[in-house]
Amino acid sequence: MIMGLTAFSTLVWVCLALTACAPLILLGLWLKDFLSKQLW
Amino acid sequence: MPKLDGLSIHIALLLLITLLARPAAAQQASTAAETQPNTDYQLTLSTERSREGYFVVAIDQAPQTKMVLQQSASADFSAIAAEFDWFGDFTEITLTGFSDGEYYFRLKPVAGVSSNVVQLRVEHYSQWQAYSLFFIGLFLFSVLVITLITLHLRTRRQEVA
Amino acid sequence: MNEVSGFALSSSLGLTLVVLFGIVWIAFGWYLGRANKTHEDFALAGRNVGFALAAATAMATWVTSNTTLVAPQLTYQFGVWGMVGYSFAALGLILFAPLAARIKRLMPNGYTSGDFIRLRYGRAAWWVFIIISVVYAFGWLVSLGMAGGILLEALSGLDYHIGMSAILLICVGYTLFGGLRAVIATDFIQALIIIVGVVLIAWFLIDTVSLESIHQEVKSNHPQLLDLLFPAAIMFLFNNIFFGLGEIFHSNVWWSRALAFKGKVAFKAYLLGGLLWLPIPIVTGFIALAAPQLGIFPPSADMVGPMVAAEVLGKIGAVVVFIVVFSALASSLDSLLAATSDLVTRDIYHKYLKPQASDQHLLRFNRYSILGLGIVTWLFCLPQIATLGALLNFAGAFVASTIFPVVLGLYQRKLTGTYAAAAMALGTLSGLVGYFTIGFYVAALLSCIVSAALCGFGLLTSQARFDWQQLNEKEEPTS
Repeated sequence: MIMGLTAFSTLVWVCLALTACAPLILLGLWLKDFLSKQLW
Repeated sequence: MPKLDGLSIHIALLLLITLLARPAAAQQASTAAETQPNTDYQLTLSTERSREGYFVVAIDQAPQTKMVLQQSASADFSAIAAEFDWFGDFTEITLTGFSDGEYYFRLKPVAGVSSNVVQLRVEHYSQWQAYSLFFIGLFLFSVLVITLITLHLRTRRQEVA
Repeated sequence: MNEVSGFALSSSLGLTLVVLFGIVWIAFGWYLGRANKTHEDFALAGRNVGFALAAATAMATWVTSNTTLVAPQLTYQFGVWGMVGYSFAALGLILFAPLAARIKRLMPNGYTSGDFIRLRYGRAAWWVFIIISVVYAFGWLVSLGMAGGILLEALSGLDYHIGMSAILLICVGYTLFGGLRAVIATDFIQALIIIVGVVLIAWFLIDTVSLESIHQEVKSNHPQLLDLLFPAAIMFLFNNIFFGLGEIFHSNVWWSRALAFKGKVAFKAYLLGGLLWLPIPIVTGFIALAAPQLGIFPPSADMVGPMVAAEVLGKIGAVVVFIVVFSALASSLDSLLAATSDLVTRDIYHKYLKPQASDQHLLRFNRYSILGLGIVTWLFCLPQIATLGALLNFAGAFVASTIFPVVLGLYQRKLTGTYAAAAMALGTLSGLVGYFTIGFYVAALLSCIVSAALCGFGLLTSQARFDWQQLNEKEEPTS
């Protein structure tokens, strides 16, 4: 059962998009913690 | 240097050291190959029978010139199935993604290069072996996840109560 | 690297990057460490780490050299299942989330995973557990130190010993000054660097060689890699998951974090950390599938990732690879140094050798043990012994045996220390036997099965009822 092109590219693109979102999420959370003085 | 494939990243990393730990000059492929006497390379395989479809082909000395590894389904290389460019002056090359079958490899015989022929059989694990291990794993994993969730929820209820 | 004309970076550029990294991290560690007054501050960052830093540190620590080097390696060997299977290691973080919450609640004053095993299961199990922990921690520490040296040498031709000593010196340096606080804060920045770097490399790769052409080439010449029924890959899948679970469930790296996180943060942080980590191995892994298309057939499978990146991005690629892998190594190395020195200070020194030690005394000893661990690791890395590096290879057999004893110990009153000790010891042994007689793909699985069976039997026959209060060990007042 060979993985087709559509499945393959969807998998890669979705993961790339999710990974690219991660820094934004982390920075957003950091800013939230920082502003409410909850970092430490 | 022990030759381990599979997940042996650390040994592989060690190989990497020895392979790369030479001055930059040593990595320059000689351009004067034609004038050199013929070098007979000794090819060896990491395994005679690959169960995973990947394996390492090694030569006994650093390449003196640009080389090509040839793959064929027959020992006389009447038909060349694939060719792989040898990378840099490394003494090994890892090939992957092979289906079941017999494969023969040699270095493309050109001026200054010759080698022996090595034979390899790729024989993937049988489906039942793969699936039985898979389902044992799946079962154990389910037991773990169900145990964890049940215990966690029960404890939460007790704490709330 | 393609032109066989030497190294991707010049030695001086490599050295400059290392020195720059070193100065920045150590200064940062010193800055963060000024607030550390007590041993608790130093070892557990005052037990008050917020959500953002907590999630980032969980993710960054789990992104080790493994994610940046082994994910492409497994993809090169096992194809699509290699990267998908590797990304399932995120389950370790996700499933640890409820455990972390429980740990924080049961042991508000606890320090280490060793504390838990000692209080819950007693001395015999503690000994087995400490041996497993030390074997694992040292195997990992040494392999990270060696990987640092190898990376630098591979990319810039700088001598192995310089790179290896440099990464150890830098990590020991900032951990020594800043303790867990520095480890967590640097992890946050390292997490950002790693993700951005990995995304950049993947993006440029897709831009240069399209996904269509990668798929086409692999499909026609290496079809096995796209086969969803690839037997060896299917066999390896769950073994890899249990290896990951065992690593996280037992290691003090993860326990000390759970204890350091603020109030109810632990659960959310591990869950988010796991979810953020999940797609990364696929992003780092798929680039290996471009190797045949680019005509790259690496000498060893683990080099495929850096080789493809350097090929596609040239010199910039090499710098990005260097920064990403160096950050990945540092974010794990510092965590291991901190967590292992806590284990030494707390479990062996304080609870075993010197129960009367004062808080300041412990703080000092903790610093000495970071330094000591750094030196011992350096000594082990010095001769580049292959056998020690191979330790991690069968570490799966060791760590997977702890999964059920840890889970049941946290939630079940009935499991006794004798059974827990037997489960860990016999689980490890059978895993090792499996590793040497059958193959690497059964070590963790077999170890976990035997350990689970023994724990199950222990539960059925036991009359014991453990009192959870015993876990909340009060600290003796110290001078």
